Parts: sequence; C-alpha cells; structure tokens
Amino acid sequence: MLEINNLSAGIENKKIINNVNLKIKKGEFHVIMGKNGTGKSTLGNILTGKENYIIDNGTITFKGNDITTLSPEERACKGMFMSFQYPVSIPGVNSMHFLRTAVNSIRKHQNKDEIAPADFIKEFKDKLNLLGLDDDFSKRGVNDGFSGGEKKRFEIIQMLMLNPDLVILDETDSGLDIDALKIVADGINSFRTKDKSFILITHYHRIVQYLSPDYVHVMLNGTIVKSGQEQLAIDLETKGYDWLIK
Amino acid sequence: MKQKKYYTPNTEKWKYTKINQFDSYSFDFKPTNSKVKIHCENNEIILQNGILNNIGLNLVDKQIIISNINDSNNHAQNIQNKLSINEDVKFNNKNINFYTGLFLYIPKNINENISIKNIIDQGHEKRFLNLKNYIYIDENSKSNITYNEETTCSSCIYNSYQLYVGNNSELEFTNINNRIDGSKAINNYDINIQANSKMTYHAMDISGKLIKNNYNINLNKAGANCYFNGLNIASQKNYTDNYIEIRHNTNHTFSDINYNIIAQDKSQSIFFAKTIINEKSSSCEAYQNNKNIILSEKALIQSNPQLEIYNDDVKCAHGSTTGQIDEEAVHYMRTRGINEILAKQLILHSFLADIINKISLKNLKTKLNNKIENYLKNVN
Repeated sequence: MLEINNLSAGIENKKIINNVNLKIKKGEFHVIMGKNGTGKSTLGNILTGKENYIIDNGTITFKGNDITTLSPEERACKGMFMSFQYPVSIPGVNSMHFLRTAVNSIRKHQNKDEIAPADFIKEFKDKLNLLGLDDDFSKRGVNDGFSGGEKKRFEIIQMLMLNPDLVILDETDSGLDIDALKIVADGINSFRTKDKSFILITHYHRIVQYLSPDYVHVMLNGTIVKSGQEQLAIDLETKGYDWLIK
Repeated sequence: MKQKKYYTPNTEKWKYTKINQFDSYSFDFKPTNSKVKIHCENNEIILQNGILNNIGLNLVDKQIIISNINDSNNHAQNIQNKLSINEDVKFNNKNINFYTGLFLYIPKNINENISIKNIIDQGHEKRFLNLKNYIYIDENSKSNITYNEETTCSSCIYNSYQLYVGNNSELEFTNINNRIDGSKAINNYDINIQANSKMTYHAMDISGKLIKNNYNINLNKAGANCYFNGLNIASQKNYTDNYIEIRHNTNHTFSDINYNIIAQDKSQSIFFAKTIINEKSSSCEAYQNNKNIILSEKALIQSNPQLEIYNDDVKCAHGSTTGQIDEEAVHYMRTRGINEILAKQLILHSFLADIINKISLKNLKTKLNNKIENYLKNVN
C-alpha cells in the first residue's frame, strides 16, 4: 500500500525527517510513537503533500505509484486521508456542504457520478449518530466552535465518508475523554477491513489497546529507531524513551 | 474661492475620496423619455434613467402612491409635512435643477413587497445624471423593497435617497447595483427610523469604477432598530468608498453594522463607519463588524470603524479584521480531495454568504448566491 524509501525532509534549512524507511501492506495497522518534536506529525504532513516541506531525498510510493510530487488533493483522490492533530476551523463553510464537495471531488476523480443529495444526507447523518454527534453539526461551519473531542470525532466522520485506502491518524486520541476515546476507536475499527491500511501517531498506549495494531515503531530525531509489536507500546508506557537513545 | 457643486459639510465623509476630482463634472444631464414600455412583474416598478416606465398590476389600485419625483412635488411636500420629516439640506442642492427618480409612499397598515428596477441606459462620463428616490413607509406597515440599479452604459450618477420608516413599521431594503466597469456614482442616503420600527438595509455593491456611498441614518424614537448589512466585491481598478453614519438620537435604540469586503487586482475599497450615541440616549446598543479579504498584493482595503459614545448606559462593540485567505484552511480542504481553486471559492463564497444569508427573500438570496458563484469562477 505505502512504501517510504530513504525519506529525508524538512523546512528551509532545518532537517526534520532523516532517512525514514517504512513499508505498509494492505490491511496493516502501524503505530508510530515518539517524544514530542521528533517528526511524527511532520511525516504525516509530508505524506499528505503539505507544500512548505522540502524533500531532500527519497521517495513515497502509494499503491505502486510514486506520489512524492503530487498535490494534496491528488493524493486524497488516490485514497489517502489524514485525521489532523489540530483540525483547522473554517467558519462559514457549512460542514455538510464541505464534505459533500469533498466526496464529489473524489467521486469525480474515480469517474463516478455525484452522490445524490438525499443519499449523502442520510449517510452523513448515520455517521454523525455513529460517532455520537447530533444532526445540528451538519449546519455548523467546519470545526467552527467544536470542542477538541468534537473535532476529532468529525475527522473520523470524514474518514468514514471519504472511504480512503490509507488513513493517517495524527494524535486522534488527544483531547478525548475515556468514553469519547472508546467511541472514536470503535469508529476506526468499524472502518478496518483487509484492504484498508492505517498509520496511527500517538503518545499513549491507551488508544493502541483498542486498535490491536500489527506493528509499533518508535521515531526519535526524525528516524525510526525501533520497530516491534503492541508489546513495544506497553514497554514505552513503563520505561519511557531514554533506553532507546544510543 | 470656487464654490463646490455639492454638499460637503462633513469632511470626514470625504476623507478618503478626493472630492475635487469631480470639479469639472456638471449636473445637467437630462435623459430623454422612452415611450416603449418595459415588461414588468406584478410587484415590480420599472424606471428608465429614473423616469417611471411601468408599474406591476399588484401595485395599481391600492392606496400606495407611486409617481415620478418630479410629478409628486405636492405629494412629497404633503407627506413630508404629515410625517414631520425635515428634508436634509444637502438634498436641496441649488445647482441641481433637473432630476428624475421615484416617489413611493406606502400608507398605514399595508404589507407589500416591491421590486424596483432602474435601468440606466443613457449617460455621460462627466455629466451627472441626477436621481432622487424618496420612499416613505407610514405607521404599522411592513415592506420588503428591492432596488436594482442596472447601468448598461458608461455614466456618472448623483443619487439622493430618502428612506423613512414610520412608527411600528418594518422595512427591509436591498440595494443591488449592477454596473458596467466604467460607471461612477455618488450616492447619498438619508434614512430616518421612528418608534418601535425596524429597518434592515442590505447594500450589495458588486462593481463600478468609482462608487462613493454616504449613509446618514437617524434612529429618532425609542425602539428604533437598524440592521445594516453590506457587501462589496472590488476588482480590476474599481474604487468604492462607504461612509456609514448612524446617530442614536434617543433612548432604547439599536444598530448593528455587518460589512464584508473582497478586494482583488488593483482595486480599492473603504469601510468607514461612525456610530454616535448622544449624551441623552440611554440603554442603547450599537455594534460594528467589518471583515475583509485581500486577494492580491496591489489591492487595498481601508477600515475605520468608529464609535462615539457620550452616555455610560450603553452596550457597544466594534471590530475589524483584514487578511488573506487562510492557507491552512485551503490545505485542510485539499487533503479532502477538493482542488485549490474550489477550496478558495468555497471560503470566499461562505464569506460573502455570511451577508447574503441575512436577506429574508429566498428568491433574491438564491439569485445573489448564483451571481456570486459566477463571479468566483474568475477568482484563482
């Protein structure tokens, strides 16, 4: 599904990602953990095509195609989605209209007809209910006035509606109370199939336990320094990161 | 000293637009009267260069008075006396001895929606076409009036509006200007709002080479409310200057200004609002909110929201924001598959819809939203 080869990148003169290699197959769930400021979110942003990062070296291959130079919308249309750590508020842009435009943009790329408004509304409301948000959210501006938890739930709703193949979850657990964490984790699990792949960026094992990942990686100073399975996340919870620093 | 050709007692009104640029203009353009009647809808009034052309069937045989301003001197005087309106001296410009325009009087206890279309198809680049539009709403009446000025030739217009909302009445007035790029206009609005009444004004300035709007709004009696909503889309080398002055002349009066501007290319747009709460006007509320988006390096927006408060028992707030399109918001949308141009259009449309959605007439709202969608197709 995704192959990152020798990726080094940063902003202006600052190198943030340093020779990262990662291979994610269809249906796999990977977790990336690490200290604050080690480049985890930067990696997510680079994968989704944020323009102010400069790639010094390496390639990103998604579903067999090199996407290193593609625009964010081209990557999204090819099936990549990122749930942001801090979703931006867009006051005035109606949430439902925004999401319908996004769904139709992706459908257009797939040579499909636009979704019928009634079908979209029904599906959207079903997803709102699944994530425990009331119907009024459809009338509000994108993330406008949403609490931290509501923003994270709305990200998952977008994931469910846009139906991507690769999902990057950037600290989706932050700002969630215990009940909301369970609802969000259930939403993610409901989307898991043998064809969908995930990268979860997190600091805590508490969300990992709900998601049973296939692999856990530790990123320090822009490099993946250790990879393992769920037990690695449990070890980090008790030992911290110092034992991994050479 | 050379005498100015029009009223300029308050230099603040002309702080940004240099008045002497009109010194070489004359006020003597006389349009010819067309004998061809233009089709009109049931609730519509058609004017051609300010001259009454046709009146919709629903508006005939009612007590509503509709006439040319020239024909209605007696009506106008009688009604002004009856309603105790003192015409602002600035409209008695002695240099303007020829004018056209509409006289519209809605008597007591009438509920009527009216659409006015003024087609300007005769004009001169340096000779003002002088228009006077007087609209009076008497007590206990309710009206939704749309005034649509369509300029199809290069022209300059000197326009005096007088709007009066009587006791316990409601007027929603939408002023839409469709101008060709070469047109110029100076618009003076004198608006009086009486007891327990509500005026909602929507100013939609889409284009025009040089547009100077002076709004002079008086909240004269307790319970007078004014909601002023404005939208200006400035492009190319167009220039728009809006001066909005609201006077809270008595207790328990309310005003709320919301004005959004988009400026692109080398255009300039000015928002200058001044709300004055007199010393004897207690328990008043006044708000001003101006939001601006600049789309190009050479576009210019000047914002000057002012409150002059001489009473302690008031609730007031004012604010202004000016910036470019939020690139983070554009990126967020792009990660959802929406291309960059469409993402920007969505943001701009929502910015403008913020004002358009305050219009209560659904059809008009849809029409304006469509017009804006067309405009946004050229933004990239």
